[in-house]
Amino acid sequence: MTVKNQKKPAITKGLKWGLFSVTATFCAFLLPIFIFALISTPIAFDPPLPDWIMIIIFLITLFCALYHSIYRIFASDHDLQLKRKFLFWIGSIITIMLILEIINFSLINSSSL
Amino acid sequence: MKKLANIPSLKWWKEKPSYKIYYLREYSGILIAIWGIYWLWFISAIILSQIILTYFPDINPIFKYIIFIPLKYYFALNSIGLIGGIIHAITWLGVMPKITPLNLSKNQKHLTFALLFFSWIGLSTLFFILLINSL
Repeated sequence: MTVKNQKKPAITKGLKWGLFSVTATFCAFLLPIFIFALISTPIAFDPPLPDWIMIIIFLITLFCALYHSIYRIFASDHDLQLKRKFLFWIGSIITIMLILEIINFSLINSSSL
Repeated sequence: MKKLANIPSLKWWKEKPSYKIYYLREYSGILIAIWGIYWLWFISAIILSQIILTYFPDINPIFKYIIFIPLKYYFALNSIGLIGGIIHAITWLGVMPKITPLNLSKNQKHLTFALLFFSWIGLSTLFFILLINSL
């Protein structure tokens, strides 16, 4: 067998999958309870400045969730067409928000006049 | 991503209940992605608002209104993420006994799932207590 015929191992692909697996384990334990804590505490409108450690953990969780979900959407695209569905849902949510905001803004303007 | 030679039909996942669960699991990934993108928007809005309110306090109110839009959808979009996260985590725990190379019986798989589920609940409760105390 010549050297030319030998296939190189897909190191990048393996690393990507490894990161996908690690982020899955991390997110499975942290993500649901983190979101639950975020909903159950009023930090959105009156943030009491949480510890910097918690901010870093949250940012790591956010990165893990985004990487994991985007990898999954691309990996499942061949049989479930998840990429198309993802774009459809994102588009729908943005459209609904836009309509609500335009209505809200016009109502505020009309009441102030 | 490499494409398959034989692309399955669009409704293959409706054939069996287990396929539906698999579909639900994959679909919950979309909810988590929406949550992640929302938080990127939220964080950038907070940073932008700090900059604008510091350096341009007399900016047109329309711009202020646009910047603070993501704050209004905090509860709704976090709830979407929570639903996606719970579905994804629980189905992951359900898959764990099946993918281990231990060749477990049906009862052993159920028992393993129950053990994993309760340890997940326990760890989540501990983390919640830690999180609430630190806030």
